[in-house]
Amino acid sequence: MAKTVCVVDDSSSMRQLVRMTLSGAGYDILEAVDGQDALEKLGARRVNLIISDVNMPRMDGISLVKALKQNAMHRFTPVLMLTTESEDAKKREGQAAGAKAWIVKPFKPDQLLAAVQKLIM
Amino acid sequence: MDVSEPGAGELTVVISEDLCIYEIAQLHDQLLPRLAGGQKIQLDLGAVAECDSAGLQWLLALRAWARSSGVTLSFEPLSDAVRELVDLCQVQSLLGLQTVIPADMGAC
Amino acid sequence: MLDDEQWRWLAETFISEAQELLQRAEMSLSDLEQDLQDVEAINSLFRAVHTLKGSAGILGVDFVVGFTHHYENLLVGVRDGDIPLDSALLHLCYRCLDRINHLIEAATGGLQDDPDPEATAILVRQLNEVQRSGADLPVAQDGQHQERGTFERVSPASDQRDQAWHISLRFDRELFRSGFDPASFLRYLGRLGQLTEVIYIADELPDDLADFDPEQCYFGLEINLLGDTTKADIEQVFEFLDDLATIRILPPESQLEDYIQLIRALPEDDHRLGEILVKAGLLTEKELQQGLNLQSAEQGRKLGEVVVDAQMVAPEAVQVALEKQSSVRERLGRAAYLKIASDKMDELINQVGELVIAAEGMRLAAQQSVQARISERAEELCRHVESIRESALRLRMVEIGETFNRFHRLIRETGDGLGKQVKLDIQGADTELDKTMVDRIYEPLVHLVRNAIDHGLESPERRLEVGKPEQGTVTLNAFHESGQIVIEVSDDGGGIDPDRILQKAIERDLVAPGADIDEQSVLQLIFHPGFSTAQTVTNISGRGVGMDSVRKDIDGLRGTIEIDNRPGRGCCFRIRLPLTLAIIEGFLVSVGEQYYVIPLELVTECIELPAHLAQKAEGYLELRGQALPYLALRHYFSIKGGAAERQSLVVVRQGNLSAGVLVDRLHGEIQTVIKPLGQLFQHLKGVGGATILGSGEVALILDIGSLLRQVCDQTDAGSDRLIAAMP
Repeated sequence: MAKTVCVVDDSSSMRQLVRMTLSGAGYDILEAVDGQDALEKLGARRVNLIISDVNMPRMDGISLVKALKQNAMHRFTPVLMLTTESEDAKKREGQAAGAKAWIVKPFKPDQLLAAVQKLIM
Repeated sequence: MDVSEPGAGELTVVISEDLCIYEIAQLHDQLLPRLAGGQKIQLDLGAVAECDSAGLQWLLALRAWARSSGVTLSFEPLSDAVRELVDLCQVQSLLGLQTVIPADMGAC
Repeated sequence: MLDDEQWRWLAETFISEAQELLQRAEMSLSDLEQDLQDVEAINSLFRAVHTLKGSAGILGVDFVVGFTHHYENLLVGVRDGDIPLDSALLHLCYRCLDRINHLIEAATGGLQDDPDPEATAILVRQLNEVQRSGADLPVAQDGQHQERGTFERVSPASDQRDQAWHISLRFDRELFRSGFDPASFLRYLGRLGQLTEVIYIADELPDDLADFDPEQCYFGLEINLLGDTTKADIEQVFEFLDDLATIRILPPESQLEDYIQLIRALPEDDHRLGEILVKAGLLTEKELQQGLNLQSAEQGRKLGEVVVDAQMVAPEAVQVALEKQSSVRERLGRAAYLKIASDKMDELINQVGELVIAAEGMRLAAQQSVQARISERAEELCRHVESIRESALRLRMVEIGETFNRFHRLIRETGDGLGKQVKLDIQGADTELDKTMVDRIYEPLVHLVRNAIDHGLESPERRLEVGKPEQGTVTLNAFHESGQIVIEVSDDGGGIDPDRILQKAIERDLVAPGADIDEQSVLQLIFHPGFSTAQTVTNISGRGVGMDSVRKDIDGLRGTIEIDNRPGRGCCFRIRLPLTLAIIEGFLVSVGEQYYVIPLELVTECIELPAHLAQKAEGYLELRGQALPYLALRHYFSIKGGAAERQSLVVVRQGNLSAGVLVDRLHGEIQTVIKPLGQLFQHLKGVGGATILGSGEVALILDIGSLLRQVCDQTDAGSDRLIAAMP
């Protein structure tokens, strides 16, 4: 059964990159433009992994993680955060909130795929 | 999860849910009260579509409990998902399963 | 192929290296004597012997290699704890070192074979016996070995095991809740190679299901991974597990040898242990960080121990890395120094000496020039030459510590032989002195140290009686004082009894009974040839060398020796040496046409005096109310011609002897390079060497020490006559 990854990013090109990389490897993709959108789209639909940007309008990545950890439907779902080098403080905040996996932008597609596969394979 | 008692002290547990972190606590809570008095328990995992490490660990915990309490516990049948993880973690003997050696590993 | 010159160079390097290594080995042994458990000393001993074997092998000195190999084997056993080290074994270690020393001497002498194969064979037999009996002893297994033993028991694919990476995983209870599934890591690992074994560690699972929280992670994994990968790649698989797992990755045992090779092949930088292991791929950066954290948490533990205990690295690898580290340190230590053949150094010093002379000549010539510019330039040139001279001389300076350290063993053996407990106290080990001086001071020091133990220190019983610690102390001290090196050999024994010395001297007709001699002169009598006050002839003193040989050696070094006697509390022999032997600050004098140089530091004053006051070849003069023996150089060297109208008296003093040297003219201070006299003139009395003056003329350098003794002895012997002759 194909595993589903939800990608949350306000940049459509980033979502595109993630989609192309992962669907090529057999993953189903669910896209959301920000935290709020992700929570709505996820709803009662459980996915195997959530990949989220940190800085997004309406609801940022950290808030999303916090919300997911409070949500019985999604609290154990791994979250892979996409971050830049400059967001180290954010990273710690995110880790405290429960996002244990991080990948630093810019990344190459195979780096992303490797990170995803380590988490859900 | 469906628990039935085909005979005295016998228990058949059919699990049709996923054996994953999201389901495992609930399955555990449901099964725990039913185990009392069971002498021969069969866990039917044939319909388990997904199984993760938490699920496998639960099976091993049940097995450890059974052994220490003198209860006969068998896992029969196994779905492909469970079998895959059992093989991956090489816990056949820990679960009391017949060891199936993948062809590519050769004889031990 | 190497040419002869290269071989010779290699051999010289080997010999000097071998000497260093033997010395280091000996120091390690004396450390072990203090503490048989001194791991660092055992390692250092092993390394020295190991390196020695290696370099002997390069030169193809097989008989050295062969024996050293046996010795090394024993040391491996000791190092690994298989053979317990006791004092008997330590003794054997000393003897082996002696044997190696002999063998190397033989090799140095050009021998192709062991000169005494029997002696070697006996030692080899003893070494083998120790190793056999050591092997029977229950071998202390450390935790690491037991751990690995467990792996071996549970793993069936034994033929693959030594080819496989071993990965050990222990998870945090919160692993599942944090969104991780170890199964994913396992599958991902499967892409790096074949998971030949996965051992599910379920020990932590509670038996009672009521205690079991199914959302918590209780298990661990031991994984054998067969594949061509790296430790860093494997670690990458678990990159997200940071705080949620303890991960240990051990390389395949079959590869351990490769890693060990890799460590050895690493560039020769002075890496810290951790860096070496990381570079070799045995330890990842992350593990190093954890190791360092652990280390700082557990004060006083070595990183090597920490990473081995934490199963990050196999102990063998750490061992090799440590050896690498220390060998690099040794090499770097050497790189900080430049090894130069001593003959090249001598040549340089010699040439610098010539330069000094030439510059001096230039200065003299310039002084006579009317052009002030030339004179100024000459002065400037001389200043530079002077600083070159100082730098050149500094090149020859070595620390005396190594020489001092050679005494640990001597003291132990001498003490044992005499039934005395002796402790060596070394001070001023970093004091520098001329290399040739260091070589030549050793023998006299040996004699003084033996003397201190034999005659100086009381028996243990006696020491206890007089309230001293049973163990006596011999102190070697060195320091610089007013342009000289002072070396002291002192003991805390009973000191010298001047009355007994005097009595002996009278018995031996060295002193007339009832003569009025001050205490220092009495003490100096022990340096008289053949003088010995030992009540019993001991092994130590029965070597046919008297204290006179000490004085001869010290004189040869243009030094002095004085005795600081503290009756009841001990005695201190204080040797004063010039900083260097090659160049001296001299005082130039002449008699007739002949020039002489007197070492400037020995000159106390110069007095002009009318010829009639000192007509005799030798005798006494009254100087400020004191009788001063003197010697006329004209007579001494049988120089023809009459004495000058006005003569000059150079008063020289060495040690506590003082005398006047009567010359025709004084020419002032001069820097002098000493040229040794040829064979022909070696026995010329009163002359220590020659030098060439700026003018091209040869000047003889006076051996003031021997002159002084001669003049004092002669005047002593005929003192009645001479004193009577005085006005």
